Amino acid sequence: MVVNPADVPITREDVQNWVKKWKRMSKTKRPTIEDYIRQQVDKLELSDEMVLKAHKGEDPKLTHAADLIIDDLGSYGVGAGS
Amino acid sequence: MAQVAELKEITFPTQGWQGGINIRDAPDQIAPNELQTAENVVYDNAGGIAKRKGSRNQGTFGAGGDRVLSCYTFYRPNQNPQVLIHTSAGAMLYTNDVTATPIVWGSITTGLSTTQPASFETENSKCYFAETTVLGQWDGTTYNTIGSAPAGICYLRVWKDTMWAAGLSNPDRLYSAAAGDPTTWPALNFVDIMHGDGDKLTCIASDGLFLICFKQHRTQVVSDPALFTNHTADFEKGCESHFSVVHMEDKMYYLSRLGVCWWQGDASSRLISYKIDPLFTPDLLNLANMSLAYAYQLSDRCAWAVPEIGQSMNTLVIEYYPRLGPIYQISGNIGPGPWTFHRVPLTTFTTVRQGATEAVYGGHGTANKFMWLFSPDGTDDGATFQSLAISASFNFGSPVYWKYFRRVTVVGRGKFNLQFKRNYGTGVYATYVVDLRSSSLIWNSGNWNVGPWGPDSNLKRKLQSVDLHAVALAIQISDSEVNTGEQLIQVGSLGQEVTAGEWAVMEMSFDGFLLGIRE
Repeated sequence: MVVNPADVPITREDVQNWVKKWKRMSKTKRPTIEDYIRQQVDKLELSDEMVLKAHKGEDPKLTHAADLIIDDLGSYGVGAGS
Repeated sequence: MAQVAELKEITFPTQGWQGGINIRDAPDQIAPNELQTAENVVYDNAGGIAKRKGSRNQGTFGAGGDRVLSCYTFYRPNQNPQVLIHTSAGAMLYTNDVTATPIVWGSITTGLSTTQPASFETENSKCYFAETTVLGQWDGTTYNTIGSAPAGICYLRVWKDTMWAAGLSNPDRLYSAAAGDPTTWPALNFVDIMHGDGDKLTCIASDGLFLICFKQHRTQVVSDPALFTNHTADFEKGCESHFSVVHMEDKMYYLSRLGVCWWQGDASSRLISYKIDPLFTPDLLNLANMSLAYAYQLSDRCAWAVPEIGQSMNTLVIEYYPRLGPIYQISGNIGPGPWTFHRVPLTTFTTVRQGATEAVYGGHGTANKFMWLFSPDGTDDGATFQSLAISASFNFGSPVYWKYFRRVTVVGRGKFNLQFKRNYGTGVYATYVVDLRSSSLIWNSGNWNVGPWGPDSNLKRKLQSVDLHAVALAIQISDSEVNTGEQLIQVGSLGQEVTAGEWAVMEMSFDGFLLGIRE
């Protein structure tokens, strides 16, 4: 079952705070930004239906919330693979 | 070999110019009610043509090299609207009274983009703007930035009580704020529009029913604001500029690569600028700068300013009159209306209704001036501008025989040059000055019941002596006058005189003779 994207209780402000915390970490010890985002989403212990969102477009498919956030990291000023 | 035809009188009246400009058809195929070209000419009356009004400098802003990138009218209930301008100095300025001369500008913020025009929207009684560096919030006195907004957004649109945004960083991505709250942006509220198709989002608009996501070459519509369900509405046409969308009465128009389109809803748009088709080619327009195209709408007309070839800013205005189109008797529908061209000093526009006034204002293209367009002036910021209209070529029903005309009867007002082009040539064959200006009101003495009483007529008829030999003749009207004229609008028993351009022409009638064949 899919939910509206807006019902997933993660705001851009939350993600911005995660990104800020990640940037403050030591570069030699911190995980990749992708792994860090996944950890933070897991910590929220949301139900499966909360984190799986139908990514509506021409070809709808279910996508994990963490993967969607990672896909949009550019809008937080972070490049992929950091 | 010359031949003399049977002598035949010719009397030929023009049919008016409700067809507008036609640069698509061959010169001999242009309809009698169309114009080969027009510049700085308006259609104040259906069928007539008139010189446009000028423009007025409302004052300067910033430093001498600053220019307006975009402008917006922020309406607030029970207060004067504010006009906001985003300048090339990276500043956002505002004024509480755009009708003042000079305008007094206040500063909202600085440090904005100096190249990407900000787009604006109003929601929850606040004005929001974005130009890739910030999402700004302005309530008329206080400025804030919305830090949680996606980076790089520069196109805003409110649809279904929600702020939507797109930008340049990710060419496919559309973002949505929380419903009713442009300050909160859920992390998963985005969707890619035709992901990876090689195109880019250029404009987001709304017809109320759909959120319309334009790319350069295709158009998608979002139908569900919660799930972002979207589908293709037009597989072939997109939109060139976020600032080229115009809502007028029951229609929405926008500028595509092929010309001006009429949005049809959930279906391919209809091109309405086919009579000026040849304009929309890389030979005549600077396609690289079409993202700067800017539209305005005022009373019965709307227009788009576009950059011509070799120009980095908008230099040509194409103006459209949808209400002057032909009315089809059976359906009652109205067909496409006439087009005209203007060259004005403004490159950006916003329509402002304030108190008893309503006018178009905008930024000057080559100076740090904010201008009033179509002000009651005969000049553009004090500079003379020329008007020009060239009719179709008339062969008077005989494409072979030469004709001779001794008289042309002109119905119109004002002062202008009446010129003629002969036999599809481009040079001017003959020039006459026609002065139909009304004389000023003066008191004088006279005998009762002798002669006209009351003010001099606004519209006049003049028999102009000419000496014209031709197979076909085109009429050219031009002027470089600096005064204004007046258009008389009869409202019941009151004749209201409204400031208008220097001249107007309603009809011309030729009378002459058919001669014969001449080599």
